[in-house]
Amino acid sequence: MTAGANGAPTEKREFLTDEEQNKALHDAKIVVKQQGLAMQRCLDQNNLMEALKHASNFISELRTSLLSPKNYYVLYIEAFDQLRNLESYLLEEKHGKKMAELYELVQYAGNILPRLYLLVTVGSAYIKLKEAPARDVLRDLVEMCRGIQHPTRGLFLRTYLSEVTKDKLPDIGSEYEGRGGNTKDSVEFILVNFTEMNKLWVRMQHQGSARERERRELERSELRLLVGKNIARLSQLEGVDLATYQKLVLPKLLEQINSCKDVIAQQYLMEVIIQVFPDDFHLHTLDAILQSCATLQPGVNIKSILVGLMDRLSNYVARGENISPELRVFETFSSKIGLIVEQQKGIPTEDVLAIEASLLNLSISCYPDKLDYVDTIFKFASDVLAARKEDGSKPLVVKQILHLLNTPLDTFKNILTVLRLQNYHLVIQYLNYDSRKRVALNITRTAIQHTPSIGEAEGVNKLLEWISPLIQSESPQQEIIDDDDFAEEQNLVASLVHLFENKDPEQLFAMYTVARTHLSKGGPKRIKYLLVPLIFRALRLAIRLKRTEEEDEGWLQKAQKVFVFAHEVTTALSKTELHEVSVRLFLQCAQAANTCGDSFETIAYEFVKEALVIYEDHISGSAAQLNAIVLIIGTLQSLSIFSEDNYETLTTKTALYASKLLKVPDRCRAIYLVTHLFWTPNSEQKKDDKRVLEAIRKAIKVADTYLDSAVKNDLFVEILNECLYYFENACESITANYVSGLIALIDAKSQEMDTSEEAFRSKQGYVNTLNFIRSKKESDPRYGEIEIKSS
Amino acid sequence: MNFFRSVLGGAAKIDIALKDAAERQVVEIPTSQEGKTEKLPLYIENEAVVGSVSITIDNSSKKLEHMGISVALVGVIKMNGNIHEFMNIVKDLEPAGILTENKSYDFNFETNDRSYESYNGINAFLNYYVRVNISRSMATKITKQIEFWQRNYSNPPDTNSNIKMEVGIEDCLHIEFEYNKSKYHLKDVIIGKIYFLLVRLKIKTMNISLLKRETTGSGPDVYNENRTLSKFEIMDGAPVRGEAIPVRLFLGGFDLTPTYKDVVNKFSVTYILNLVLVDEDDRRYFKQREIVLWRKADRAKKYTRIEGAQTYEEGLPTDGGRSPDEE
Repeated sequence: MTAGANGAPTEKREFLTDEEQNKALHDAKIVVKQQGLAMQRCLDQNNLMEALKHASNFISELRTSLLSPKNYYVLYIEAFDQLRNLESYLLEEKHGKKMAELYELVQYAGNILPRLYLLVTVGSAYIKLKEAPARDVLRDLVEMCRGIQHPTRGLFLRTYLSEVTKDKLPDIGSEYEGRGGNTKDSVEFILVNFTEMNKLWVRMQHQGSARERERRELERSELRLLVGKNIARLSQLEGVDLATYQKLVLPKLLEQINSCKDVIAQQYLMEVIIQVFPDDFHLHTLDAILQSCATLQPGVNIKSILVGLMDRLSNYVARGENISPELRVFETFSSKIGLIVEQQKGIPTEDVLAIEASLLNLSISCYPDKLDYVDTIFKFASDVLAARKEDGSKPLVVKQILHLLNTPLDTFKNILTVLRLQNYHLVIQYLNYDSRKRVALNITRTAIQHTPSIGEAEGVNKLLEWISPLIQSESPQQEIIDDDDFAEEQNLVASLVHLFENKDPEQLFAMYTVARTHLSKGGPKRIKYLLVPLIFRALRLAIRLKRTEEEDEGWLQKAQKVFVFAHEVTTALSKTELHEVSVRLFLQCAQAANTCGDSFETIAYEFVKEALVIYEDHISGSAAQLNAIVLIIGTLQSLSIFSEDNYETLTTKTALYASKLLKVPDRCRAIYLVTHLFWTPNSEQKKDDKRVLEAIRKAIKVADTYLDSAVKNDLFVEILNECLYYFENACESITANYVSGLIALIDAKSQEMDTSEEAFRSKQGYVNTLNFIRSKKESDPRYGEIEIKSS
Repeated sequence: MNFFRSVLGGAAKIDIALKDAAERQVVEIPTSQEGKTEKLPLYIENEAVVGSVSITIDNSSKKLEHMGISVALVGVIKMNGNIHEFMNIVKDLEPAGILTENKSYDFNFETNDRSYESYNGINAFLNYYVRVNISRSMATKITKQIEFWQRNYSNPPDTNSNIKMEVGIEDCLHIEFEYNKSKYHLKDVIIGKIYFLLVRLKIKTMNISLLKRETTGSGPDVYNENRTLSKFEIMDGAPVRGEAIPVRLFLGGFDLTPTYKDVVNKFSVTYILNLVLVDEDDRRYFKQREIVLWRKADRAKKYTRIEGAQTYEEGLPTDGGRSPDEE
């Protein structure tokens, strides 16, 4: 090969400025219009040779290198319209020439671009007139177009080829089928054209200087439709059935996508394939398409490709289509995604997780019963997170993990289904504490809203393990802010206890035991929310066991165990600062033990004793003390289980505490309330009327020491009312005489009262009481003996 | 003038008529004068040259004294002002005497060897004539000649291998080109491919031009005259490694002759395909290769299929030697 310098090197030019571009485009368009008109005139005069010259002239405008792809497109369209006129003329056959002759004739043109545009135009007419088999013409045209290696010009020439031949492709049901060829010929034709166009398109990035690369890539991107149209055209061929697609179309497409090694092209073309071909085709070619994803260039957004594909298939199923199990869709995706992630180290973790999330959706839509598929996905996700040493510090990763974790909750709703997953929680651990708490909340909410009940200890264990961020702090540093949100969250967890349900008391108890282990971990601020419902539930269980006493001989032991449990839990609570609650709970326990019958006396005694001990050791505020005393009295009064000795011990202790209250009104009231422990109307045991009288006297004495006359009057009236109760129920020590004396005492004391508003109201209470006695006098002769002096 | 003729033995007019002139194919030949053409009867190979000569005696002289009348078939090469008759076959029509009335003679050059074609070249011309001479003693002879155009057909060449060459500039550009034949008839199509094996240049365009080279003289006086008959762009833009660019050049539209080698040891006409690559700095890289042209017997052209489309059917390697039909 000989080299010879010829002519001075031309100045290398970048694209022109926008203004210069517009000018160049404008000028070129004018030429195209003028020459197009001239061509049309010649055609009207049936002077084909001259017309071809004009056509060649306006096509020559497309030889420019000055225009940006976008402007070149505008010019191309202009020329395209003119060429369609030429083709119409050729089809009218007024020229009297054989198409073969014309086909040769246009090939004498010295410049290749006009030559090929004309050749394609004539070729198109050649096919249309059926003077040659479509197949031969198509093959020839697509081959000859190789002469244009300039990316933009080549791309548009081939676009022209593709456009004018699109209605002339031999295909099933087309008029060009048969002698003109068959679908396979059309497929070959489009594939070759596609391959060449893609090569040119990819090559566009190397035009011009590196400085403008970004802009060029943008412009190149705008032309992607031209390349993609070929794939769409393949999908429109009637004769492209599954077999053809599988054996011919897809392998060729993938081969080109793979070998072009261009990020933009690979991304776009994969997406087009997924878009344009039917779901059924994809289902049968998953292997191939996923395999090729593994070899795409780094930088290709594989996530969007895979997600696109899987979402498509999910929708396919959602429309009611069935996927044959033989296709092993899940297995294929699962294993290939593994391969892809392994080979494409550059896929960000959040993308891998998004892919898995899509697979999860697909799996759930296609195989709603296959929980092991879901499990596989979580296993994979956790492996990826482990391999990539994720620590929950990347917001995007966290977002995807949360999405992945929420999907089974949103889908299965019933928490029992989710609990059956072996690997779900493995993924949770890659989140930080706050995120794990969010997951835990979601799990809890889902359980409460959608799960009728949880029936196994194992399930309880798992559930509470999963939501452990709500139950305990991760480290001592994490401070709990006991605000409304916290309360709401803890109440939510607490209400989980109500879901635990099993007809078998033993199993239910096992669940409570498990729950206790978890729920006790959280420290005072949490257990005050979490343990209380557990105690109530346990007591309910004990009472339930009592109801089975006729069928189940062992109920006693079982119930005992439950009470021991309740005792332990309450004791645990009492060790914190929650004394009042503990007192209340112990009394509650005692009541339950009472319900269960005599066998539980000791237990009940123990419970009340615990309440008293806590009272003594820890309850200090006077209001709290009064409340506790009232509660203790009320409870003791309602219990029927105790032996005399035990009862005596407890009541004595209670009376003692009552008499030690500091505030006078509190002490007075406690003392007169204690009377109920000595004498109860229908009880045979509690008939110690002497102690009632004793206590009443003591109460009067205490009240009398108080200085505020209105309050003092109140206390006297209250004691009077108390006495009326005993008189009504015929307690022997409280006689009409005694009541009369009390009324006289109150009358005497009321002289001392001032005229304040409190005093007036207090008096009114007294008047009401007296009115009651008066009304009683009319019906009950016993009341007649009560003397009322004042008016 | 008439006076002299009558004085010096009379005057006469010669007409030469070729047989079947009306039916015979004529060819339009550019003359040595720029832009002018003439139409000449066409004779193929050793076809007999048959015709008649009529002598018309000038009315004023009534008789013609002559030293003999003859007709000759003459082949002439004109080159740089020199004329060389390489053929001159003479037939006597009339012995010396006096012709008193108009007379016609038939002639028939039945056996002769016209193995050279008529040729109007740049510096060289080869022409055939039928020439009639009336020799006279005292006066100049009366001569009339008419030209006819000679063409010879060849049989298809026995061997016609394709042309395949790998050329290049080291580490810069390697291409392999392939033309389907080495010998083409004048209405033939050159079909070929250019394979780019290595491309490190920014190529802008690639052309094929068909050169005609007319060689005259011999030894130290040899002189070459080159003409570019066509410049044909076959590629636009920069190819990358692995591209195969198709070549299809129809010869029918050009004014071509067969290849002539050493015609009467006077001149030769050869044809050369010149492949030219031009890079972005307008540097040109080229490779020339001679092809042989031959004249094929005319026959009615039938368009049964696309010229050149046999690229596929006849297995001329397309890209990678794979034809799309194999699967």
